[in-house]
Amino acid sequence: MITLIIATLAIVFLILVVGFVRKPQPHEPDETLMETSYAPSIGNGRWLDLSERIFDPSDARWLQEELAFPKLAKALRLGRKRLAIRWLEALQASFDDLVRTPDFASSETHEANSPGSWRMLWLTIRFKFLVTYALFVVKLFGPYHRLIPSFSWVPFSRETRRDFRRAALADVQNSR
Amino acid sequence: MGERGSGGACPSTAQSMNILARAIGICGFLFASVLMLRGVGSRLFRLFPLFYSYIIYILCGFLGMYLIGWLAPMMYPSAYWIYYLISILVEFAVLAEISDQIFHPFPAIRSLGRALTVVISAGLGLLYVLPAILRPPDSSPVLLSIALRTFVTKAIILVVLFYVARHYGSPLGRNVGGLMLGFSIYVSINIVIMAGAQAFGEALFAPVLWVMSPLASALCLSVWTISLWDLAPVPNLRAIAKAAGRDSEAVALELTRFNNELSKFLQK
Repeated sequence: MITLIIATLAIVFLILVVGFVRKPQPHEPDETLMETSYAPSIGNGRWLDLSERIFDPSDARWLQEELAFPKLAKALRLGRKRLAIRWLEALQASFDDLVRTPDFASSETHEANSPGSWRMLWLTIRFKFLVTYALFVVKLFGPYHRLIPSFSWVPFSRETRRDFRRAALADVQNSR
Repeated sequence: MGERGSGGACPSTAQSMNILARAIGICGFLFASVLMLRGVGSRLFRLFPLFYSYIIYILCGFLGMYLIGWLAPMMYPSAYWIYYLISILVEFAVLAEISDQIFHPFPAIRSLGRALTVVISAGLGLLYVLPAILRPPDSSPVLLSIALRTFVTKAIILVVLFYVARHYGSPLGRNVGGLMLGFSIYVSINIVIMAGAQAFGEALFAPVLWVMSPLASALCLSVWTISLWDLAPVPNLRAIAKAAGRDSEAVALELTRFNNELSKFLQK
């Protein structure tokens, strides 16, 4: 029975392959150029400033704690969450555009197994993983949550922190 | 060898199948020879080194097996199975070539195809193919089981490569598209034959297997001959590369910059 299913899957696979190979190319050159012009650039300082403001919790805290507008603070948090998700998705789209940019140099000069290409692949995978993780955290906990988890709840971590504090205090006392 | 009929004039079914299989085998050999000659004559031989190494292997294998069958027929069965087992492994060279070519224009993911092929081959080799060698199933012969599982592994690699190529909008072009199509035909026909042999028994499938296996090879080689008749670069991609392309160093710098910015952002 399993082998028959495998055989059926093989036939379906072949049909899919034929369909895929016959399908016209999705991107026209002009279309791609337009897309790249929309995507934000990482070198653009204003765009990075925008991210600083989106992920900065001081506005929401100020509304909630100093002005005592919890509802407004909540609405601001929700709005910032949406903005943060859009910012991260835009960053991902911009990165994908970079990845999809073809090399204008001669295609015969580059080897698929050169150390440089493996390093670039590592950077690509690393970025994809990190941005996916960041999106997951923002969607689940909001934009003001720490992206790298704090280990303050771990007893060992607390001990170490206390030890550091003690050492710092001792240093201060010694210097006096 | 097949038996002759009562009159002695007509060959039996087995004999006809044998002749048909040989004829198909010779057709495949001719396709491979034409492919090789065209490849040597053009730049294709230099652009697809792994693929043409495989074609050389096919040509040498065919001639070697023919010579063994002619000079030492007693050794033929064992030589055939050794050749068959080596071929199962050598076919991964075609997958390696396909995976290298798909993402070749994109410097950031140039090694992605190779990485996927190696990871999937190693993973499925350990978890799916190796158990068939260590603990062979009782229902079917070991060799049939290994061959089927190896072909399924190849099909999975092809599906993943298709999916990732589609995700990144990688244009295949006639050369690479034909390479993939031909190999997919070969892999799927072999899976169907071997799955059928496992389900319905070897006795029923032995004569079919005898003809269908060279037919799958000949079909695959015919598709490859047509698609690799001459070098066909992807026109759209050239236009994009001229308009918006960057060199590898620029892409590497941008990738590092993206990663650094994201790392800074995560550490806040």
